[in-house]
Amino acid sequence: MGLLSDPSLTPRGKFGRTLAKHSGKISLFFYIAGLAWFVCLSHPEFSHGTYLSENALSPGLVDPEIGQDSLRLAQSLYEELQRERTEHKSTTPHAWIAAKMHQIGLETHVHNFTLRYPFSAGKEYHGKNVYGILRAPRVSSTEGVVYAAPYRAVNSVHVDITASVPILLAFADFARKKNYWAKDLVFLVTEQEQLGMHAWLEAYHEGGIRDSPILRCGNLPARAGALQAALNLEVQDLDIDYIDVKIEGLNGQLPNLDMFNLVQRLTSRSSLSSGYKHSPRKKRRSHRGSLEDNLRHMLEMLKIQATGVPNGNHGLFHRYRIESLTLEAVKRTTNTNNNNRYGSGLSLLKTIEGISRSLNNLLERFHQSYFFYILVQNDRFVSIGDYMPCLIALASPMFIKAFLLWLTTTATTDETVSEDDSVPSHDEEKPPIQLPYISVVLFMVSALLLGFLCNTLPFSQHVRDYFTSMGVSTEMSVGLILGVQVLLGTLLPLFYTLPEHGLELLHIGVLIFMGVTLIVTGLLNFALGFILAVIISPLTILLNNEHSKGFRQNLTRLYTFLLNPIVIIYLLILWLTLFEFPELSFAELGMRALKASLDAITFGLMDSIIYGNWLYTAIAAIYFPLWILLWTLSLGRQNLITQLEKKTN
Amino acid sequence: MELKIKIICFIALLVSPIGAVKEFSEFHEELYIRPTSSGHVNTFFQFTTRWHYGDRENLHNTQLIPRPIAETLLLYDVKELHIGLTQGLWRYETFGYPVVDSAPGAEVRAWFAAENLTSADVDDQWTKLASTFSGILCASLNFIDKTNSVEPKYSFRPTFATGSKVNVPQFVRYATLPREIVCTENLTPWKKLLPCNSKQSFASLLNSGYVHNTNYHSLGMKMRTICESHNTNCILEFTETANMVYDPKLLGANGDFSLRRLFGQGLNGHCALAKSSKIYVNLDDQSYDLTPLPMYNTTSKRGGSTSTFGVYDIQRLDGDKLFNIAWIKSKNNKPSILLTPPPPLYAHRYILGHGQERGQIVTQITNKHYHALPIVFQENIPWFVPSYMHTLKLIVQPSNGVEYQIQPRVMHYIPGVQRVRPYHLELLFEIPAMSTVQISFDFDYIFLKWLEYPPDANHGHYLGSAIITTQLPIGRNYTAIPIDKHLFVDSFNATRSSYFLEIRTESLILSLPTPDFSMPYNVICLACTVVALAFGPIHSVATKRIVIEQKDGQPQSLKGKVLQKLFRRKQNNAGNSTKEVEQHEKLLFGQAAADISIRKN
Amino acid sequence: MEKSKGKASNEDIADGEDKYRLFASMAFMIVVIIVGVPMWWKTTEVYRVSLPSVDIMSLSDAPVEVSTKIAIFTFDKTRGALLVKELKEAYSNNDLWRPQFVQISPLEKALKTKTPAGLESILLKQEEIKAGDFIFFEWPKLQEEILLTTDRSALIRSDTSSSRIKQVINLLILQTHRIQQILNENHRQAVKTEAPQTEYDVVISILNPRPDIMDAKWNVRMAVETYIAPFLKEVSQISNYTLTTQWKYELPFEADLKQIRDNSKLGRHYALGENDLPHIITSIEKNLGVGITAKPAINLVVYITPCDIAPVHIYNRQNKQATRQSVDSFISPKWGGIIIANPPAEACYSYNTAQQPVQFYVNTNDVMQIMLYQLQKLLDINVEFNIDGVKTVALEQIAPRRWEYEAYIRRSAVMHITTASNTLQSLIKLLDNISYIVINDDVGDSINDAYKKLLLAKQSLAEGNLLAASDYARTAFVASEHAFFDASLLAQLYFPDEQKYAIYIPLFLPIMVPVITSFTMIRKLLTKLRNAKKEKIA
Repeated sequence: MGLLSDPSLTPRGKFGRTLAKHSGKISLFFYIAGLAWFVCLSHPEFSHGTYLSENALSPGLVDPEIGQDSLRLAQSLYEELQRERTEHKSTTPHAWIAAKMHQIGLETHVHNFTLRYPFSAGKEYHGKNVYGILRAPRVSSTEGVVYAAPYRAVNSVHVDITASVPILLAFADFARKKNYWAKDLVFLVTEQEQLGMHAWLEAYHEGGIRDSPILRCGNLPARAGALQAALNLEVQDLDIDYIDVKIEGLNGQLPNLDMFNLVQRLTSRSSLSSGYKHSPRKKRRSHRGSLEDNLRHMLEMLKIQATGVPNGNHGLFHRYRIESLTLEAVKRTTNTNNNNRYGSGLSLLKTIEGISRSLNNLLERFHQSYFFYILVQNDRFVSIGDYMPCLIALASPMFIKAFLLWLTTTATTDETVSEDDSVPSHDEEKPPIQLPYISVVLFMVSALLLGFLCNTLPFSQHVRDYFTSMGVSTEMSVGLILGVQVLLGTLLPLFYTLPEHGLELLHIGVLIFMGVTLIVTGLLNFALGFILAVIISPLTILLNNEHSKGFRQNLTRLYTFLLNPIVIIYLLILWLTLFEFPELSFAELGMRALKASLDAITFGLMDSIIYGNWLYTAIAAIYFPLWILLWTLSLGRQNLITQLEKKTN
Repeated sequence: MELKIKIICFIALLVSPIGAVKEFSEFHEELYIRPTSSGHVNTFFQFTTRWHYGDRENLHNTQLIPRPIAETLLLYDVKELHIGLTQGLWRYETFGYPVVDSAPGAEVRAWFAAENLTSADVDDQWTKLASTFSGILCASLNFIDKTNSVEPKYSFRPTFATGSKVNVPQFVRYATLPREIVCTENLTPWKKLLPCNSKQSFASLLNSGYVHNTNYHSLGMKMRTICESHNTNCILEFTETANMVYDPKLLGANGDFSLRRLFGQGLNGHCALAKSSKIYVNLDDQSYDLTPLPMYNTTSKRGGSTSTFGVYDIQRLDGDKLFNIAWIKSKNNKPSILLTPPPPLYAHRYILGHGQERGQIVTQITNKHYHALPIVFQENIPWFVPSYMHTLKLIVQPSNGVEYQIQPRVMHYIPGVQRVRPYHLELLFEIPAMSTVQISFDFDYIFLKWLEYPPDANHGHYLGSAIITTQLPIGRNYTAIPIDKHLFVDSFNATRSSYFLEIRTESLILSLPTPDFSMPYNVICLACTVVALAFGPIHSVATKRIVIEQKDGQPQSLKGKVLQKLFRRKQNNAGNSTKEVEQHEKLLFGQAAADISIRKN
Repeated sequence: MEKSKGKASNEDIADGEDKYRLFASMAFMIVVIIVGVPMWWKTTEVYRVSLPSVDIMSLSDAPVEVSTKIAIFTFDKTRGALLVKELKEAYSNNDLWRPQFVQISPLEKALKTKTPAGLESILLKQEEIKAGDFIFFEWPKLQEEILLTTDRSALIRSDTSSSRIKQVINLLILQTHRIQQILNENHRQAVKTEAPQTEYDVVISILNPRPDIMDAKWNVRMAVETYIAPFLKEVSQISNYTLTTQWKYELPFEADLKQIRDNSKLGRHYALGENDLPHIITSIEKNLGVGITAKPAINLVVYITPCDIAPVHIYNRQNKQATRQSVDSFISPKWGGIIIANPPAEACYSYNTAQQPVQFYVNTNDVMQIMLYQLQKLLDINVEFNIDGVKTVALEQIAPRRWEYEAYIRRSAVMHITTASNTLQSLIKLLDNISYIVINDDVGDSINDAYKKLLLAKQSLAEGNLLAASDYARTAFVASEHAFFDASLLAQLYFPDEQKYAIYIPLFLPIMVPVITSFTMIRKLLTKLRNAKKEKIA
């Protein structure tokens, strides 16, 4: 507000000028401040202890009733299932599961779904989910809770989590005999990893009405009202070493903190070592709760969130505002204390019972505690109010600098004017109008247009068909499309010439654009926003419109070039492959990395098509254009010179 | 339409028994027990009181009928009244059809009829009636008013008879309170309306501890008057029903069950005033052995399906020890999967869509019958769910074949008005054989005023269940009592041309966008402060004036600056007007090194 | 900024700008002070109808005055004059009663009459006697000093003294002591006897605890219509009564009955202790069934004793049988009465021998007589007294004596007045204390109405037309109750006053300061402009 009435912030104002001079230092300061703030967050001083704010949950108020017999049932089911698996190598024993559910006395249904693979047309995958509903006697099917267990076929590449189905069924059997349920219990066995779960949820919430041609989910034969919460089980074995609680969801969404705390409390009650990003005991013992440990914790969390890919089936529920998380029970590797093997299995069942009964108490849907947070430890977290500042700090220099630039540009203009002493009345209209707004805006628009193409072309059916007809593999086609775009992007500044003052204006525009996008991204998915800010905002420091020595300029150009999305991806993959296969020669590495990165891009694309993960979109439609603009700026001077030369010739 | 014709003939049926009969009043108690195909047990109590009270004045002198009921007839022009208090959901696929159907929560429906009765005073009477019964049954029926009650046109048909030849205007009102929770304080007053107290009689079986542990229980109350001529020579029929579904698995003990296990105690005699008190047991499920065996069996042929019932006449029982019946799973039993096919018609309802902008309400009606059935579908959407009928779609999905869209024969739609009246939709259409019809329309999620949110608002708002009425050509697992009769036993061998069926869907829960209720005052305070802060500068910009003055020879040293500042301040203290003048002429030359300072005039 | 810099460069433009700034600050003032504040005030104020608080609070200052006409007829004129004079003196300085004593001058027709009735009719022709008035006339051949008829009249002997007449007037006609009681009560807070409501349900319930053994037969409707209904019709001036009857089954006395041997046919009877009666009432009360109207109920219960415990007799604390002329019944004021109808001995004898259900025809006449008596007691219309030498004519019809009934009306009118004014006053106190209770038009109207009617009632009492007074008093009473119990008084408030200020201060304080200060600026500018003009002129 002060700005309105305080005119001292003009280029003529000494203050203003000094600011303009030191803008680089200011941005640097802000940058460092932001990073420092983030590091500080790992310190206990800056994080709060977790607490349950929804009183209805009242975890562990009831003594667990589930007992040895349920565990025994689980074991026998486990053995049966193992036998089944010998027949079904690559498929799910649907019949067996359905039979078991029916036997327990659940209302059992099967849900079919079909995936037409978007590329290389015609290829279809069929899937089946089996689910049984335990109708709660107390209520008229208005609310429900989902207990899900993904099934992995024998020939799956992932870790074997066969034990989760028996555990689920054992719990279902226990629950069937109780009459205190106030929410329907849905016991769901999905296949094909997240695809199955996604299909089921789509069918539940869209009823096959808004089916995309790619994933046909159809409708569900039976429902259980509004789903309140979901618990996903990935049990590797009945003999459990520890439990890892996974929470990160699609596009970095998180379950309500209460849900996490609930699970945390109950697992700790039932003598299971568990936690977020949990690791086996021995490793854990080495460093406990140190700053560095906390920081690692936070960074890992951000890393997963940034990709926007859920690290478990729970992640797909969040979109429908269903609080959910995954209990990953890791099998015990060290075969110590054989006297009570499966003791841990029982305590897992107890945990599940506890959770289910707390959720059963729930009167309202989760709304009390935090939805945006970063876990520092299992029992400490940072709320959005505390971590947002560091993103702001990283983004703010852009606005400041933009403002200062604007001042200076206007200043320069009417300085030039005031040199020839004309009547003051004359210089009123002159200075601001002179800036070539139109051309600059056009330039930005064209950049965005490229981005838009990047985003849409691979999605469009025709293009896909065209390439498949040409017989080009998916990865190649996508790579081709993007490659062309990027090339265009890089060349754009060369054959699009800006008038004088154009660059300054563009610079201002870019800075504001950048700042806004970063903050918006940060609001939607903090991790992504933060990481991007960290890598991009150095440019704000480097870029400056005054004449700078060659080195700095080159440095800028190099950095900008590296920032190119494709380059980044490539380098990352290269880095990883370097670790994966150190033995390879450099050329092979390069090739392999290239292929891998193409795959990576394609997967990103698939994610966005099937699950609605918008990482790809964000990169292609916003950051790629942004990059083009930055690239232009970094080339800026030279570009102007060439243009001058053109004039002279 | 053809319903109307039916009604006429019904009246004829109803009135015929009265004739010259002198004043009488009788009371019957019945209990019907049926194991369902899913292994559940359905127990249905019916207490019927019939009173030929003659003329209106006589309603002041009640005998078996409870006084409040008679008084309602005196106070209001109500001719027929149905009240249902239900917890849980009747699952048609597994339970078959109930004798009396009712929606989850509380449900009230009444017919009014009198000469020169206008819709306005019917509305008035309706709310009064509801609050009266909320007092009698300790249920929160007093929340029924114009904003949540509708006037169905096709769904319901009257079962009363005001025998007057001149056509008196008839009005029907219907409302549901899906949020209502049924428990002991409803059961006790409900039992008090019976002529006998609950120590003896069948009511002794209804102990709250056991009734409320069922998977479904529904207390019902039905009242209707049958007059030969207007308000004279009338019969008042008052029926109380209790419908429960038990889950033997929860009672423990592998599927066996008995009266004692179901109700916590055996039957303790019968009501002394009862004209008849009988227990009917459905014997279609062969897999049980009964002890003791029923006194006699009757078979009922109805609409092409036959079923046998065992009857226990409690009045013929002697000895005052508690009477008990036990169902034992017979040892020699064949696989106990029953061959009872699913009922011909059932329905489901759900909300589609995610996010809190707009959603879609979908009702799925499935016809398993091999003929097309006429359907009357009624929706009663509360006012806070603005729904759009231009998005209404009826999609038929044949069990084999491709789906297609149909248009309703008749559509009766009264758009709702926020805070005034609900959205009321009635559709008449024909559902093809062996197929499912999907009725769907879109709605918006809206914000309410902050006082309109219920307690624990994040639980969500309830949408009452839709009603589907039809005329079944067959009587398979159909046990409703024919309209012209009043006892359960009358449903035996009651073959009709068609069977009038009402079924209800699930009630839905809808979580509207909910504000944080701790906020309002804080928000106001914050907003005010912000405005206040903004105001100051704006005001000064608008009303204050900026004057440029030159620094005379600006000294470089800090000391100099300080001195200058002081000097300037002195200047300020000197009078303004003169000063401005000189400033302004200064202003004419060299503005390059000017700096700006504000001065308030 | 540039602009100001540019323009400020010469004087008159500056002045022009001064004008603008002048208008600007003016505009601010108008918007904030003239528009903003009043609007805020209007939108956040509580809706309250204006009430005649002061008048209502001063209601109790004006005492209740009752005037009645009391005519006296004597054959000897002088004696009549004397009586009148004496009575006048007796009531000369009484601030409650304003009786007007008039003497009916003897006329020759009167001398000829043979019967008191004839005389009375003649006198009534002579002097019109309204409701609430009374007439004493002489009838020489009379045993008692004073004989009160069932109408508004009394016969006096030739030698009846004025003091005796005064006594009768005070005790029976005006019932001073009771009126005083009522009037005093409004000084002490607790009102003991509450005012009669405008509507009552008279619920007659017949309890048959053992329908399986007692086959009770009784046409209740007819009995009630012949006995109770006419009586109620007679007394329905103050409140109107709706009669309902109901049978209740399996509702036994929850009291321990002691068996006592005696030499009756059955050889025993059962004693119901006096202390148990309250328990019985409570146990029955909760099962008699709720009325669906808001009317208070008067319960009259007939208990048909089942043969296995018959006959039941009430015993008092001294453990004596309290049965009077073979009637066992008791009443509890305000609630109602219970009559125990014991079946005849031989009927029960047959039951005891052969355990068969017995038929039992309830004796309508007995039961109804008792019930009627109970009802009169409950309504407390009839007065009982014993002054030697004063008698009343025995009742031959069901209706109460006219003068009794009119005394009752007068009493209840006074009671309505006092209760209503109390209610109004306390309500007004409340409303004045809590300044942000909403008073909607409905409440406001009924308060005003009650007030007006009260005044009217008092006035017409003072003028001595009783029926009008009682009507006014009743309506006033109803209106005041309605106002007092109106739900809207408890309605949730959007802003209590404190909150209102607490919330809006942060808005108004910072805004007001610059606006106010800009006054001074305006003044300066105006003076400056004026100077400028002057200069121009000069």
